[in-house]
This record gives sequence, structure tokens and C-alpha cells, in this order.
Amino acid sequence: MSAAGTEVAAPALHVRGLRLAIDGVELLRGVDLDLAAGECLAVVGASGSGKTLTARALLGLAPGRVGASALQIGGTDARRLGERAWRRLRGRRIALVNQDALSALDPLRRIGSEVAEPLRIHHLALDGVHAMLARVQLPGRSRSYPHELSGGQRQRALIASALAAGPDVLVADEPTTALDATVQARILELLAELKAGGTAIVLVSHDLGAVARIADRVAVMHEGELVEQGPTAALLAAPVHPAAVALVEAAHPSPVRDSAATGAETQRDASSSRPIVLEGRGLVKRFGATTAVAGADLVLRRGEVLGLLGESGSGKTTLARLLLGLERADAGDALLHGEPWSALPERSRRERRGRIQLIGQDPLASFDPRWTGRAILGEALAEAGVVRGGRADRIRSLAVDVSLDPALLERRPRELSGGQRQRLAIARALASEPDVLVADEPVSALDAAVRGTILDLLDRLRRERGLAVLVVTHDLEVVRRIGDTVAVMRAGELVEQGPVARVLLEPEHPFTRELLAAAT
Amino acid sequence: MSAVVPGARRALVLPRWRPGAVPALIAAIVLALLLLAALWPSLIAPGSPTATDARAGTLPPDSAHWFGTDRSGRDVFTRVVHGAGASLGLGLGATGLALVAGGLLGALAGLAPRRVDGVLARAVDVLMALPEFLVALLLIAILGPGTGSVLVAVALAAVPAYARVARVRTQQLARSAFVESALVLGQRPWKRVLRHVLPNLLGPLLTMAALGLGTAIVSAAGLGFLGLGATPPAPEWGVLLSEGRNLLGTAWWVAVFPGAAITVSVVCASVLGRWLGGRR
Repeated sequence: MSAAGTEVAAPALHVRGLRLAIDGVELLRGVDLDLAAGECLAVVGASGSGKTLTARALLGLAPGRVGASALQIGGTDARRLGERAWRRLRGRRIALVNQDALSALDPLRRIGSEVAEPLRIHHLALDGVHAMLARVQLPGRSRSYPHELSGGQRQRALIASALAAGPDVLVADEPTTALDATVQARILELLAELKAGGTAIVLVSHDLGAVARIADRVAVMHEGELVEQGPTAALLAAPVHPAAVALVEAAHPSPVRDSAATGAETQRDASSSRPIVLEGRGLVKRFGATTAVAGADLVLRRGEVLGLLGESGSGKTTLARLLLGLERADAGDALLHGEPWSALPERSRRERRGRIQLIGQDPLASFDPRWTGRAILGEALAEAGVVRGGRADRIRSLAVDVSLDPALLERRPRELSGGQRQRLAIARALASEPDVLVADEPVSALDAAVRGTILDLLDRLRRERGLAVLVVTHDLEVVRRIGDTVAVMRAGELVEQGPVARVLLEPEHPFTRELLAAAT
Repeated sequence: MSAVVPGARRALVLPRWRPGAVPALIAAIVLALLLLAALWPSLIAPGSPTATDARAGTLPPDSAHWFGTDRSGRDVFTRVVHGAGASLGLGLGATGLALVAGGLLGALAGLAPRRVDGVLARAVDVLMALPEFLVALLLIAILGPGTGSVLVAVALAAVPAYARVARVRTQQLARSAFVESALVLGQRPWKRVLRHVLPNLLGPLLTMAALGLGTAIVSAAGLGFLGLGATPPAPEWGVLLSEGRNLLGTAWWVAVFPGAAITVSVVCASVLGRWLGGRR
């Protein structure tokens, strides 16, 4: 143990040449990090770039062999620590906040004892629990179980538990990724407060918006290496390394936003003359005592992208499923081309199923795991009535339409990347040459860079084929980028609808304003 | 069943080779030898399994009679080898029958309206409460003794276990996103079941069958031992075991070698089944 004198002078973190290899594959190749007390360093990069591994290596939790020429945590040399010594360090000097707050909390344990655990482990007084919960804005919730808390509250409970033993360094791995925009903003505020209080924070994130708000410095990772590092504002304004440039460009809304806004503005007059393809009239859906959708009226016109925007649990997916006829409405109607749709039994609407297609939230789950891309597209074409002889050519052209290399069609979905899977899902949806695409969170599982290309693809299909697209999303950026009109949903009700430019620039409903404020 | 679509692959894919798979490899080799004995016994033991030799009664194992001879001078090795066909055949046949019947019953329950499903599921629960061997004995009591009865009894006794797994899996599959995707494409219900539900059911059921094979061999041999299966001169392992039972004090080899054959085949089937089930 180091003396108190050296501890004051030592930086919170000092890492040189951090390396990690698993099965002979180098996943981290010499990462250097420095962090002072009260400073926030953001580690950003595409998925698979090694950010999470770096975070875990800092706590001695990484799998495989970790090597470093220097690994100092608050003045302690952690290079040769055994598991027992690491345990003394974790929680007390350096703590981790995980991405998935629900699985990180023990479902059978009350929040209070979760927060008290690090204190018990390190033999500290337990009287700080209530103060700690108050600090993360969960006063008096110490007797609650995790399932009684919302996603944001769980994340705050997790942060309280990480902070309980007063660590010098907090490692937060994607702490806001699973959360809604307004909740995200609150978590970021909390992290900023902690920083002001002298805690050093390593923020692992792919969300540059979050990074820009609280990080002092940004480190960009690419294929296991730290390729660029610098002050947040400077790096985001003028990235140098190609990987950094790609990240910043993918996250940058402004150029696209302007064109979309003006585009929507000019379309506004024309739009009312376009034919309506899908219409919801007073749709209601209840699950037991809860009302998921409370009387939704919605109109989708040809060649138009409608963004259905709302936080998780707002009922937007249920509304989309009502429109698709995958869920039976308790009241109201969905009309397809002005004809009855949702009220019909499956048997009599099967003929017209091809008119309206779905792109699901999780593309991998939407494919039969035994089938290759070719078989998947072949089946879709068969259902669309394409005779066997013509299928091979159509399969090829579908792949080309969605910019998917036809050679990849011999693979099974599991062997494709996230972006490729989503392209395959879109290709399948196009097989029947539909008039309406319903895309449920089509890009939420994708990296920022891939996200842009998938959104561009949807926008191109709308333009070239006059497709009507309903995009269900919690991400304002998606609506801003490709939406013509937007419907804002909250607790089962559509609180505001209109052209994207109007709603985003002059929001009328307070909730829309709150959403906008949280995202900027 | 799954070969209809180009590009669709088999439900059961062999796991990648690892050093830990050595026991499974040995088990597979032994089972292959046993299968060879079952399919072509005279290749390994050219003599007749029922040929008696009054001068060579109850001889201990030697170079001429590897497993010794029984009281009538029949060669025990020849009888064990020729018994493989009946014993393994019963085990495999009963397992296959149970898989198909249980799988279909379970799939039916999983897809049926709630009320029908409730009746089927509770019936399966009741049967699961009884030990499989007891159910098989009850069935033999109804069907009367004989090899065919043993096959049917062992198979039916195992049906509830397969039906239960198949039912739960079917319900999961029917609600899965990819079956819903097929619905969105406009696919008819029976086609969805045939193309997406049943083939995906096969994997877990085959894994179960690989583990259940050992149980089925033991049950079939057990019924043979009780004299409810093959009739005595026929060389079925359970029958051989019961013939040797009275000689255990004087000629241990008559009972021990058939018993060892049962044990070895059950252990090998379990080791291989466990390995196949533990993949992924």
C-alpha cells in the first residue's frame, strides 16, 4: 500500500502500453491513458474497437492475458496484483458502472443493500447508504427492489452502489445507451456533478452527444489501438484520424438536418395531395389494466416517411403492430389503401399481406436460424408469387437494391454483421414490392456509421419507389434525418403530429419540447 | 424434412473438434462396432448363436470361446454379438418412435387452442409422474409379452418426456419473430408450421433422443430379463442375462458378459449424447 503522501500527487490513472490477447488474437495493442482527479475522459469507437475491454482491464476484469508497461490506479501499481489484491482495489479505488442496469442488479435484493454491499466488503460504516441514494436522486428508495424502478432509476442505483465506497475513479461503460433521451440527460447531469466533486471518470460510449456534454478529453479507439486523443471540443470539431472522422461525421446531424427540414418544408403543400396508403382511426389497445394505445389517429401517405417518436413503453411498437395487423385492436380501425385491414381475419387479408411489410427491431431474430440469406429471400419471393425459375435473378437484384454483396447470401444471418442483417431484412421486405414499410427501431442496434447508411437506404427507397415508410424510433436523430412528418407518442397517446421541420422547430406540446431539450 | 429448401441446412450440426472430445470419440467408435455387430453379426462371430454342443457345457473363457460357453455349450460371445441386433434395435426403434410420436403430440399441443392444449399437457404431466419403466410394464400387461410389445411399450413410456419438450419449444417458436416474419410475408399457417416450426423442433429433440437411447436400451433389456420380450433361445441381452442369473456362483461369465454389453452400450450412448447436447 502506498503512503498517503504519494497518493495526493499521483494521477487517478496512469496507463502505458496496455495489451490484451485472447487465443493469440491481439485485441488491445498498447493503449496509453492518463486521468487526473475531477477529470472526465471519454473512450469512444465503433463496436469491436476494444473500448469495453479497456474499461474492464482497468478493473482487472478483462478475460485473457493483460500486459502493460504501467498500470497505476491512484498510485497503486496494479500490474502484478492477484485476485485478492484486485478485490481490495475494486469499489474502493476504482468502480464500474455497467451498461445493462437490469442484469447488473440482483433482482432479489433491495436497492439499499445493493448500495451497502461495497461498504460491507471494504468494512466501512454503513450509515452513508441513505445519503448516497439521496445524492443520485433516489431518496427513500432503499427498500425498493430493482423491478420497482424504471430504467433510469436502476442506472442511478447502480451508480450509487459504485460510488458507495468512495472510489477515486469511476469507469462507466455505456451508462446511458439503454435509456430514453430525457433519462439520459439526467444521468449525464449526475455524472457531471460527480466530476465536479473530484471523482475521475472514464466514460466508455459510442454516443458522441453524451460525450460532448461531460467529457474534458476524448480518446478514439480503433481496432485495439488509441488512434487519437485530445480535448473534447477540439477533437470533435477537427478530427484527424480516419476512424475519428468517420465517428464524428456519422454523429453529426446538421448538414442532413437542414436538407431534410427544407425538403419537408417544400413538400408540405404537395403532401396533402398524395394518396393515403395507411391510416389509423381511433386505435385502442389494452393489455389487462394498462392501456398501451389510447385512441391513435395516424395518416401515412405515398412517398412519405413518418417518424413515430416516443420513449420506451410509450406504446409506439404496439401501435405499429396494430397497423400491421399483428395485434388485434380493442377499438378503432387500420385501413390499407382505404380498405378495411385490421378488422379482417388473417385468412381474408393474407392476399394483401405483401402490400405492407415489416422490418423488425432485431433482424437476427426475424430469420429462421437454419436458413441462408438466399433461402430467406427465396421464400419471400415464393410467397410474393414469383415462379421458381425467376427467383435466382430476383434474389440477386434484391441484394443489389439494398447494397448487399450477393456473395454474402450464401451465409446464414448469424454469420453477417448487424448492418448486413438489416440490409437482408430490408431486401426480404422488398420482395413483394410493398407500398408500406413499417420499420421498428431499424437502427437502434447499429453503430453510428452503419446507422447512417441504413437510414440513407430507407430514404432512397422512399424516393425511388414512392414507398411509404413508418419508422418507429426513440431517437430524435432518426426522425430529423429521414422523416417528413413526425408523430410524438407519450403514454399511449399521440401528443403532437406534423411536418418534421415544424414540430422540431416550433414544438407545441410540452413533452415534445422536453424531448428536444434532452437531445440537444 | 428440411431438405426442401435450397440452402437450408441440417438441424444437427456436429461440434468443432476439441481435445475434450476424446471420450465422445471413443464412445462413438465403440457404438459403431456395436452397430456393426447389430447389422452384420456373422462378420464378427461367424457361428450360430443357438448351436448347442453337449460336450462343451459351461466352459470358462479361453481362446476358443472368448466369453466362455453356457450350460448347453452355446458360445456366449456369439450370443452377445448376435443379441446386439435385438437389443440395440429395440433401443433405437423405441427412441425413434418416441421422438416422432412425442414430437408430433407436443407440437400439436403447442399449436392447439388453449383448452385442447390444457388437456394434453395435464395428461402428459400425469404420465410424467410415473417412472418410465413402470409405465412400460403396465403397457406390456395390456399388450401381452413379445418383442413388438416391448418396442411399443418402451416407446410409449418415453413419449411424455418428448411431448413436454416439444410443446414448450413449439410455443416459443410459434411466437418467435421469424415465424411472425413468415406471417407478414403472407405464408399460410400449415406452411409456417412445416417450414419453420417443425424443423427447428428437431434439434432439441435429437439431443434428447441421444441421451434417451441409453434409457431405452436398459428398459428393453429389463423387460427381456423379466421374460416379457424375446422368447428364450433367441439371443437378446436381457434374456441372456436372465439365463446366466442362476449360474452366477458357478459360471459367472454367462451373465457378466451380456451385462457388460448392456452397460457399455448405455454408457457410450450417454457420453455421446451428452457431448452432442453440450455443443454451442
